[in-house]
Amino acid sequence: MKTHSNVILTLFLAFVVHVAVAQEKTISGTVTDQAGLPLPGVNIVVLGTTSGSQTDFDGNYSIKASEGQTLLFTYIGQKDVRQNIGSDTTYNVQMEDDAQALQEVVVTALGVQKETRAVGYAVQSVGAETISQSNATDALSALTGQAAGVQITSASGSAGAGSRIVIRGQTSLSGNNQALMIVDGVRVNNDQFASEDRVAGVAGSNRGMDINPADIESINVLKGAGAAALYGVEGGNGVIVITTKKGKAGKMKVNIRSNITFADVNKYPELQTTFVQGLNGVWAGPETGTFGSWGPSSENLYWDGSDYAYDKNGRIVEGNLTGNLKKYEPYDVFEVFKTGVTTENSLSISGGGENTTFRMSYSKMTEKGVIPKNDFTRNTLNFSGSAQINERFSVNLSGTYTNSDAYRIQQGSNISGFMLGLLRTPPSFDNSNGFDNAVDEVSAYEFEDGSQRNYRGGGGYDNPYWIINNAPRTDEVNRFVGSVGFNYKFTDWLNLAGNIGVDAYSDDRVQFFDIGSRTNVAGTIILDNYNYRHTDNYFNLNGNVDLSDKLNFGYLIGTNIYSERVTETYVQGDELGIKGFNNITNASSIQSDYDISREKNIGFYGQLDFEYDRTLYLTLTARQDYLSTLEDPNDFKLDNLSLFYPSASLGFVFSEVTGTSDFLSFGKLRASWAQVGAGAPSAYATSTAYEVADIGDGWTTGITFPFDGMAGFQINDDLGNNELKPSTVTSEEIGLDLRLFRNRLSLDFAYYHRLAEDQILAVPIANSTGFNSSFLNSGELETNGYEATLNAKIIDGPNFKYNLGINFDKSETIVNTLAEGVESQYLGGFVISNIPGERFGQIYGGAFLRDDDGNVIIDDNPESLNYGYQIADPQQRIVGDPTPDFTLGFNNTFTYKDLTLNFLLEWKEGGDMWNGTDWALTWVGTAKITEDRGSTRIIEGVKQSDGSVNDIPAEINEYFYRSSGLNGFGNVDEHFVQDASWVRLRTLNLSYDLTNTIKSEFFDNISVTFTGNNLFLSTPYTGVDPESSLTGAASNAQGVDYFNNPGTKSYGFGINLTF
Amino acid sequence: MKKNILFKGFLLSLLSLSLSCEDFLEDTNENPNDPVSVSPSALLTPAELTLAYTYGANFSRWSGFFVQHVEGVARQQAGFNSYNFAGSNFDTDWSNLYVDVLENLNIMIENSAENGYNHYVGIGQTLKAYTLMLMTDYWNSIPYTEAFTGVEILQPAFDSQASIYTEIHSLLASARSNLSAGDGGLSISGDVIYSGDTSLWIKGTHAIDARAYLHQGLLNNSNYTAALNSINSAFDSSAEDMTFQFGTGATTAAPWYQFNRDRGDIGFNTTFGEALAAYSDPRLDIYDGDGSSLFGDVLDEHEFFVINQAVELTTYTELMFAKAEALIATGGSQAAISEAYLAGIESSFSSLGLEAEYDTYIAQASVTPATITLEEVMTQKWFALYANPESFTDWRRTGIPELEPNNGVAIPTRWLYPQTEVELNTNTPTATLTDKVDWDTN
Repeated sequence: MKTHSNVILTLFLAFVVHVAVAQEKTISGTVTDQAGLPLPGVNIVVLGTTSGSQTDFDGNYSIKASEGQTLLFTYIGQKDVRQNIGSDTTYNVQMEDDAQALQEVVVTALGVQKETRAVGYAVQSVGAETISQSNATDALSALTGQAAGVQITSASGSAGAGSRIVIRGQTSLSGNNQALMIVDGVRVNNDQFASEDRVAGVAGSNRGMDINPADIESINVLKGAGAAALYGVEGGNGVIVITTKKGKAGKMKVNIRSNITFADVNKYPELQTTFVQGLNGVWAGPETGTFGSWGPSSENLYWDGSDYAYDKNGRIVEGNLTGNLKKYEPYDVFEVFKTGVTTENSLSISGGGENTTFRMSYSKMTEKGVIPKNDFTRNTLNFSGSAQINERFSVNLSGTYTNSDAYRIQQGSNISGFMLGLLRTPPSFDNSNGFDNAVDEVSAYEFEDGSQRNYRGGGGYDNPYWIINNAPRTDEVNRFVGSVGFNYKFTDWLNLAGNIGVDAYSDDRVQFFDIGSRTNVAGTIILDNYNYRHTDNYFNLNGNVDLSDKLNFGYLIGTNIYSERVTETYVQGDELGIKGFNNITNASSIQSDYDISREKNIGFYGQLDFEYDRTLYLTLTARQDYLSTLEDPNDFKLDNLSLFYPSASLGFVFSEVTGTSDFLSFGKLRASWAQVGAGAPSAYATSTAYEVADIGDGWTTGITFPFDGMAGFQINDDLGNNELKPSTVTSEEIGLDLRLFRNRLSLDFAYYHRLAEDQILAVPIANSTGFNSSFLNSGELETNGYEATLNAKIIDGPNFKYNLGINFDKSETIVNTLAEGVESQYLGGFVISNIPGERFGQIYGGAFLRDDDGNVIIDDNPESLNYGYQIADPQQRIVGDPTPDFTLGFNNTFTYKDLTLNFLLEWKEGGDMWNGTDWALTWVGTAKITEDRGSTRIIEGVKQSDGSVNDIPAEINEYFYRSSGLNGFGNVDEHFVQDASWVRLRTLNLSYDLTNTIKSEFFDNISVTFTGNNLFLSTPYTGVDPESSLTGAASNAQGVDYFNNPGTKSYGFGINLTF
Repeated sequence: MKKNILFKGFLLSLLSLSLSCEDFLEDTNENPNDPVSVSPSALLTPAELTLAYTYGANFSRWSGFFVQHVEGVARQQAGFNSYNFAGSNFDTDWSNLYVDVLENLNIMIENSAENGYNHYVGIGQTLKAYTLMLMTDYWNSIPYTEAFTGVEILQPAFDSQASIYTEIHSLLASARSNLSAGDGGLSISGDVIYSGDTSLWIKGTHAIDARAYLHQGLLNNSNYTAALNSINSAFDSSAEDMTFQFGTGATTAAPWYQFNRDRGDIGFNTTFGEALAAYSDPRLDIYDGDGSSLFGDVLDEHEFFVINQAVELTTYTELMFAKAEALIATGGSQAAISEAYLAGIESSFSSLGLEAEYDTYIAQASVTPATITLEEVMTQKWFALYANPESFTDWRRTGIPELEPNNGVAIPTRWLYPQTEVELNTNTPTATLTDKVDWDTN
């Protein structure tokens, strides 16, 4: 005990600050700038104390300090000045412009670092601190709201769910629209392969999630094609350049980071709780298999307490005849959700000697979702190092091994979909059977005979608890991403660099539907294994020459060789033998498939940089590519694979001409023009082969060959085209970069225009041609966008600072044309299509019949069952638009001494979502909107017979919501399209830097953090958090909610130690 | 010096790289996943299967709503039951028939004709004729002469129903001559319908011809005579029926079973049930799904929509009722009419395993009145061709049985053109559900 006390005492003493009290005096003086003009607002602090002051309007200051202490003068855009206090009482200080402040460096194409001022296109940089504050568990999510023009959509709040990143709108009608990801100079794959139809299955991970955010030093977003020309075709969508942390020469540093975060569902869909299970107002219990909540109102309902397998409270009866019955109360279907917990621990060690540096890290992230058992775990091991072999030759390497595994829950349009079974459950049925721990209690969801305890008497949809336990998708990814590079400097004007990168992973998935699943009662196991590999090699020669005092010339020429191979091995086993045994050997019928996809590209490129007097910057690039996707396998000609594209960008630092002042610190105009080409969106589009036959009717599983031992093939209904030409994207951008009020306010405006022509897409063609689609060079996309970013140091006191960052983004991509005669192109997600003349990805579906003035036509035939209702238009049309009008991010940082409060408010205005969940629940009768059943109302519109204003009181009843064809599950989508605008508190972050408080010699830095995400959300959308995507990250069909798993809000704590 | 070597080395490697560009890239885009040519048998099985699956799926279910064999109870099917259809609801069937059946049959016919594989040509022509009739009966004018060209004619013109019927008869005649010729060294395999038996296929061509003439009966009474002639060359018993046998596996199951399993939103129609009950018809028990509201709830108990149901494309039963109808139309004798009529009922009973009940059933005066009129023939055909799309055609042609529209207004008399064709082919005529096809002068 005594020893313990001693240790504690010693520690305590070690932290105690001994303040020697000396004689204080008042120090005063004037602070001037380089030109000798007085500087107002300069911060002055006495080092090692909390006292501080500021200069007044005339640059004068006064402060109390003692002899031997040091004053620190700081001002934005000026170099810090330290002034030791001697015996004098007046100290005049002249500050110097800090050229460094304007020499911010960004990483541009091919890892070339450039001064910000030299760049002729939009680049936005996000640093390690911001990434850390975002509390995101993956690199892409960390960018949310941080960069204008960068749209990140997370698929759902499920553990391991991916996010989609699109920069400045779409460039491809049918191919990939996501930004290219580059880590330490080599591209990394960010695909999300779908094991099943994208509207069903599970919320998968995009492979960008394999990057540990704690390893990231900075993310540079290269938005324009001007930046991307050197990256080749994939750079056309914008580039995310991630630079990982590296070791630095000097003392070895150890960093430990530990976070714990708790998450809850942030928004549930609105459901009615008044009406119980049944039909036509009559209660029908689960044993009847009744699908709907069209029973009686609960007002006068009681439980009879009888022994009843489906409800521990007994059966439902009307009226309390005996007087001692328990009053019926609706169950809460959402009680299945729990608090999710995410823990993240990482350790890194870095350092370096005179000629070598290294950094290594290990990180483990475990995310347990809000749906029980849903989890995602990621382990990353990262190593990087560099060696300066001699003064000319250096080598570097970096490598990351990632292992992740997940237990995912079925979602979407899927009989085993978790939300589908859950939300259709009548309020009178308790999925959990009264158990608090229903997920671990088999009798909650299964009867003793092995049949399912669900609200459909064993039919219908799986009980959500059954799904959690018996229909998991488990997967494991093992991935290695690494590169080795060298640099040989012959002379100042000739440098040779090479980088060889590899990205290889296996994604091993097992989907289980145990015996008894409503998806397949006999049980199904699917093994789906992806093997991905690409190599990405660069060799560059570059150099710089000062042609005269004022004119500098730089060049770069190089080659890039890229090769990619993806295989998928798919084995489906049906008719399982033993319940609960999740292994393919358990299946008595097996179907399998194996696919290889290969792509290779070779590119040659060059870049010329001219700099004149630090005022004018001109960059020219050109690239020649050869793309394998354009190859005709029967007639190989190198010329057919070739495409060439140039770019030019110009930066004019006009503040060098006008001179700087208190108002204008820096000003630059920039303009760029660039072209990027592209090949076919996938391999093998140039030929037509036969495919294994696959038959269905749109409603059933259908039949896949072999059938009964017989092989069967059909001609591929996507007709190949051996005359495909490369497509091009031409973009222009102008921008203005301003720093005002001595760099306290920086503004950046950009306008861009982009035209994507000769798109290669599988154009839908009339089936009477014998095919569904053909690959054609057709279609044109045009994007116009504006971006503005503002950073203001609003308060910049010695102790208190307030920094505001605003990102504004308004962009729209219009589909100018598809192909001749093609008026729509289905993208997926049930209702998302491209329509010529409209924005990308419209909600295209069933609508009400309208007259020429747009009035809804009302059926006024008294014989008709639809009397008084709207009429469905047999032709589909546009019923919504998922593209937002604009997005705005407010990033606020308050610093008071060592305490920092940061919060990011995000406002997305406009952008519709198809609430397919409500569409289905309206039929089921659990949707909130069906609660008005039994009323009558006059539906706005005109009568069909004579066009007069409708005055028929329509009966709002079960028929209306279920069978009129206008409503639930009907052909009309129009009234289920909702505005999905939102305002949300994306992140809230409070951190306290304890380094100065604790003053331990051992620690370089100690800080603690509180974080929150989505703590506030305001939206007119009635479903789950509308930041949601049924079809996931890799699909171009966005704006669809069909029983999507819900989003989350989270809060947590973290600690960061460096020693 | 060292500098120089490195630099030259780099340039050389760049050069050699560009020279080996071709080696690096060549054959990368050769599809290793799918074959570029296949045997005719590999095309035949899926074409037969797709036709049978399509015939037994939406055609069967939605015709079943129209003639009130079955009822759409839940979800989308509830709307369809009240005839709330949009063009997009017909996209899959149109695409199944044009792309998966007809285009692949055309490839099979063309490749087989080049090689002299006459039997494949004949079977291909027979299935093609059957498919074209199904399509024109539901959609009236359809693209044919300008169809199946890929991107050459992106918007094929529509051919009239009359010209489609002419083509059907011509295809069947050509099929008969091909099926009668030698096999050119390649005998039929992969034929689920008749296992390569060309004599049965020839009988099948007559059965399809008979159906086609009957459909055109309202246009010209001589078509009934032609139908009778064809029937006489067609099936001799239900053992020769043109059916497609589905399997017992989850992924080889028949379309109705799959629907009941995967969707389950359809149940038995009480109008039909009451009609059968009025005749004490023992088929009621087999058809009705044990009185549950949804067939999905009695999936494996359903006695008609069994997992390995044989989808009936055309049958001896159908032909016997057709014969009775044609005899009535051409003034045939009561004896002949009655013989054909009873043969139809007997065949229907025996194919359902109800041989023992047959005598009692036909002893009822309501079943066998003194004079067999069209009313009896078509009612019994309605009973016998349960969930068979042909029932919808029968009802349109004869108006028997008399039915109350589910939506209170009118029962559809055709299908809508699919949304995809309307959007992608501006030649597509406008049509509503209650328009009539050309032979429907009723």
